[in-house]
Amino acid sequence: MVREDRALVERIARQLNATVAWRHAAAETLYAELERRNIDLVAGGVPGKTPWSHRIGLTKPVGTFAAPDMGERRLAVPPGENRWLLTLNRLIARFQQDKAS
Amino acid sequence: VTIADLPPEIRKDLQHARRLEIVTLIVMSLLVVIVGLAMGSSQAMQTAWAEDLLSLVPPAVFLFSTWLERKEANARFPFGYERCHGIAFLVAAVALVAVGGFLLAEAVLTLIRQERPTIGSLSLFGEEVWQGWIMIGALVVAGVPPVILGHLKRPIAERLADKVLYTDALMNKADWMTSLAGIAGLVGIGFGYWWADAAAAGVIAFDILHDGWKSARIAILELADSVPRKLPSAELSDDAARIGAMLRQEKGVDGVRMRETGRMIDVVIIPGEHAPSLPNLEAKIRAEWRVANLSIGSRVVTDAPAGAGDVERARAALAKK
Repeated sequence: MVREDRALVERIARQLNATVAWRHAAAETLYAELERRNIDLVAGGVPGKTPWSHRIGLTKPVGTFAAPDMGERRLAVPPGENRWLLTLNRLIARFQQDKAS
Repeated sequence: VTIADLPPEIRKDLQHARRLEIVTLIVMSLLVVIVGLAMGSSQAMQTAWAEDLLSLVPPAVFLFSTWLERKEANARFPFGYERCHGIAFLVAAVALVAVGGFLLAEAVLTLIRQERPTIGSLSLFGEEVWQGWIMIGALVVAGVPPVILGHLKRPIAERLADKVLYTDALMNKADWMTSLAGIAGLVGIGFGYWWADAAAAGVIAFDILHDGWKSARIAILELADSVPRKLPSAELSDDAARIGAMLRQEKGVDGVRMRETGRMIDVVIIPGEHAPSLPNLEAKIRAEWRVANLSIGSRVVTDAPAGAGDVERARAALAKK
């Protein structure tokens, strides 16, 4: 799960000619950093149903969880970063189409 | 006076108004659903929902009170049901104030908390479409009917001296202006200004509060037996000025006391030394459909502090400075 999301982020970064500066921390810490807009993205098992959902932005689903009641897996972005969110959603949609075809 | 006693053209206008209000109730309820589906379940959505619900209040109380107006006076209501329309006016005006208040509170809270609205995207025909576009579409659809309805209601409200209907037209104005502010806000968000939505809503909220306050104030004045007022300006109503001047010229009339009972006017004559004849006075104002009740008051009030019953003085005092 985490490895899958990591590969996805690396792939997004390649598309955008960006380098990823990874930081590892507890989810709560990362969401708080995201809210303060100190980081750009949180990946690695972000549930769609997180109580943080109205304080941060969530992309479209990127996968599922082993436990079905956790909802879909997503990536998290800082609140109000609408262009960033749209860019991510478009890339995710494109990767999913590539995979399907 | 019941609706059956009103002139035919007024009865026709009233029927037209009732049909318009039924259409308003149906259309606005549908819009609540459409906008709700486009907006999702955000905090802002809950406020919008509360506002939409409140915008149904004026048409609902209009239909209820005009239904009551059809009833004749009876043992329990010896003066008839005219004043119900005055109560409906207060309720409608307070609903308008509440809409403005909700909108302003929401805008201010958003600005203080510096909440940045996050708007995602939807898959439409294999394209990721920014949800803001869909919201703008929904707001355009939601904004058109209130413009038309409000435009149709205003002239009828003036002919009917119907302040509930007038307030409802103001509510329609509040509805379409809120939609317009929402569109401006979304465009602003699209350009990266997170505060655009709240700022636009805040500006509109002041306008709605201003309209609501003017209506509520006149509604309270009416229920407190002040002289009849125009709606937008709180000046003495033209009908009252005309009726007052006409009756004042009659022999034996020392003063004319008037108050508004719903759309009607209640007239009490202050008699001089020689009381005027009531049938004479009635003949004078036959053409004035708004006079629901004309009576000759007791001589006692002539000794009351000056001014009561002096229509000219009332007009001058209320005239815009």
